Amino acid sequence: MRIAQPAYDEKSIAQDFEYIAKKLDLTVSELQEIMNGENKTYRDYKNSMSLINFGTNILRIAGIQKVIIR
Amino acid sequence: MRNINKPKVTIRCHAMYKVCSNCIMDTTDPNITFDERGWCDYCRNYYENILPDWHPNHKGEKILAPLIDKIKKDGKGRDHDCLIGLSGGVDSSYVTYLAKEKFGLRPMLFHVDAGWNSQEAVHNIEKLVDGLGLDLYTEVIDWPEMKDLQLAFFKAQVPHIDTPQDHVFFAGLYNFAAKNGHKYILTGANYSTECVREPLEWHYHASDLRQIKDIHHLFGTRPLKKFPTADIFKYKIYYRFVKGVRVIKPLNYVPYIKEKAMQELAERFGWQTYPYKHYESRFTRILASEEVRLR
Repeated sequence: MRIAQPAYDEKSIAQDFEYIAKKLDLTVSELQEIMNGENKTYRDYKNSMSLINFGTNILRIAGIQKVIIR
Repeated sequence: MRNINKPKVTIRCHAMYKVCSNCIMDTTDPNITFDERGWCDYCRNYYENILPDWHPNHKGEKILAPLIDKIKKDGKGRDHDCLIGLSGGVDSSYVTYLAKEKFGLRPMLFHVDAGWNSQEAVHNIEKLVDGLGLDLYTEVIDWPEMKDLQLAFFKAQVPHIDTPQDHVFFAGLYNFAAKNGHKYILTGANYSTECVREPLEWHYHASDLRQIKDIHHLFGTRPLKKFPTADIFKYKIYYRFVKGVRVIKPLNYVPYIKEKAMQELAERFGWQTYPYKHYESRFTRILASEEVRLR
């Protein structure tokens, strides 16, 4: 299946990874260390989710927005 | 620590692997639900809420036609009648082509250079601007600030690390429109290539300025002075209703098949095709590849 394949070839991915690290003034291993770190989500930081949900509910009641984003 | 008191349901979901009987979404998304047919909530969202409103056909043409007339009428006497956000990717490139050649509009092109443009994107923008004879305004984001916010998002360990780039693309565009009195923004947003959105856990709203500020406050090292920002409420309420800026997504009203669109652009303008999604930015193309790898 397409989803099981790498998005593009491994060599170019490694090149892009190095390019990004360099451009952010990190070494490849420093960037890799960040990538390997403990995953967090938006909930771990301040956010406007409750206000956005409030707004979305108004739009849904008014029939303006139908698509559900969760 | 935070998860200790979470209900057991989540654990059960993880233990019981399940994939949708209609698409490839699975329990990798812990909040996914399935109905009696085995269809996931993304599929139900698509068939119940998206498809009935999507008209890439004659009906769409009928909806779009009066809108185009109104844009032309409102734009009389102005140098441009609408503003198009152009990344150099296929969606925004195709909108640009349609607007000028098929709709007969007089768009101004707006590009945000956040530092990650791929060589293909730069090439494609040049080809379109020359081929269509349009005006282009490029906003170059201050790199030290962009880098600082980008690093802050990496250090925050969140999956939505493309937020700084995503935010600045739209904030730059909306701010420019509001400041210069543009009433119509055309974007390449479309259901054909991006209709079922990933869960917020994987990809949070890039328009939430409160989150951006908090992450930058915790992990940033320099103040953001020049970095363009526009909170979701600012553009959805203030810009929309006070400034009168409307966002139109024309690709949802015409037949839009990505491969065919790329081919048309290549033949017509020498536009350079690219094999995968988000190839217009060196940053997002590797993010897309990491996402595929993780799922």
